[in-house]
Amino acid sequence: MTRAVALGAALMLALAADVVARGGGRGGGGLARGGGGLARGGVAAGGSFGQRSPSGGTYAGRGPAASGSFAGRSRPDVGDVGARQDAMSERQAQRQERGTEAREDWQRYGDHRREEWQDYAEDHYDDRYYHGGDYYPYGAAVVAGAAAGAAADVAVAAPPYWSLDCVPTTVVVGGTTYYRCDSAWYVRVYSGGEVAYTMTSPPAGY
Amino acid sequence: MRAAHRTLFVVFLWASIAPSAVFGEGDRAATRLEAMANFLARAERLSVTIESVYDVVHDSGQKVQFGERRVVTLRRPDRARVDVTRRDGARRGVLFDGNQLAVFDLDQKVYATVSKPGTVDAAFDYFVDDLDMRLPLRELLKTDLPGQLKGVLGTARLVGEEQLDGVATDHVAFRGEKADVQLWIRRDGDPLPKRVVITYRLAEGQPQFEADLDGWNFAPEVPDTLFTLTPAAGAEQIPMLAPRRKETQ
Repeated sequence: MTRAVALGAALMLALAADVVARGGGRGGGGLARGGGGLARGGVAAGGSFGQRSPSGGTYAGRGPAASGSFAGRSRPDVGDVGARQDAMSERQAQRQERGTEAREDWQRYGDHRREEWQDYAEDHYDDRYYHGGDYYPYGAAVVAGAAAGAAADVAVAAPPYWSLDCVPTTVVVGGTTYYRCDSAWYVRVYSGGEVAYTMTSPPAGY
Repeated sequence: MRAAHRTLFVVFLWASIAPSAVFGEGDRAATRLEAMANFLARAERLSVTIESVYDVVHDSGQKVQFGERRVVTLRRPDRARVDVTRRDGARRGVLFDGNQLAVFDLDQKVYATVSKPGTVDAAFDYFVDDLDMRLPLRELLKTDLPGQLKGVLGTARLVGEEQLDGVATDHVAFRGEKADVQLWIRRDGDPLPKRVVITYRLAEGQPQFEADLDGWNFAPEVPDTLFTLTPAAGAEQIPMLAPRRKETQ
């Protein structure tokens, strides 16, 4: 558990770094969401009856006929994974186009991490994806090791990747496996029900 | 003139009878749904095998089907285990021991844990709604199923009596807010769901989720160890990322 918390902290640092990369391109990781395979997510993957209560996220606590409150519910279905994946893919493509400048940008924007971080958060706050009549911003938070319910306030994160399309070198530090593609480092996380990769800081000593 | 009267009489007769026939089917469908829901909600423990397939609609509009087998074991109010084997052979699972939710992937040799003291119902909701993890047919596995279905009973209709793999079932359909749901409920013995088909009619391409539920057991062996995470040798603990959502309007 302690390791997960430490890794969470590392991820937050890395996500800030990811913002720097975003300024002119991602860190040359050569990643692709989906890795050429076909995505498994989507609304039907959730297997939900498709109704939620506005507060608890439970299915039809009072039923759609009881009130119009379902339209105002606060949480989307798991099915929006598919929509999110689409949005992520687009962002990833854009980042890869800018990838050649990544290393310079990493240095150039190093002094402006805080500002970029804020920009990044705002950008993603605006990266709304449609679901069931409501729009939601996308972000992510490190939750392992944190108290239940505290996740949403931890951090806004870059979307993860389902696979690496480089052949990474791996390093195990402190019980955590790090994956390196060029100058970019990644670790595995659970996201949307799958094991995915997210950018992180280089491990100690690298 | 007399013929016209006869026609009017027939129309009047049809108008009088038809609605009652429709409502009769609706009543029966609702009764079957309620019986199923109450039965499942009352079970103190259960296990069931769920063979499911679901569509994924890609950007091009291409629809691709995936499938998996889930063996679900519940010991209410606070123990749950789900073992998943995908069609591609990947094996993973979910454990809840009353205090902690854990997910593991046997092939990637990773696991993650999150503290969530409470009931299975609350843990399942947290798992799906907050952690954005998959737990198909969660609704059927929760004790609030009767209350959840109340809102859709008015839309429920009996499609007919049908045989599925030699099992006599009532084919019931109802409309949810975003999905059309069909259930085949066993006619003999306990009112158990035999098949579920969900059509996400508002989603692009109207993908479907379909599941066959078999091997129902309401007296499974459920020792504490069944719900306790014991990481495999060499398994690595990793974090979970959950979407951060905020109402924007």
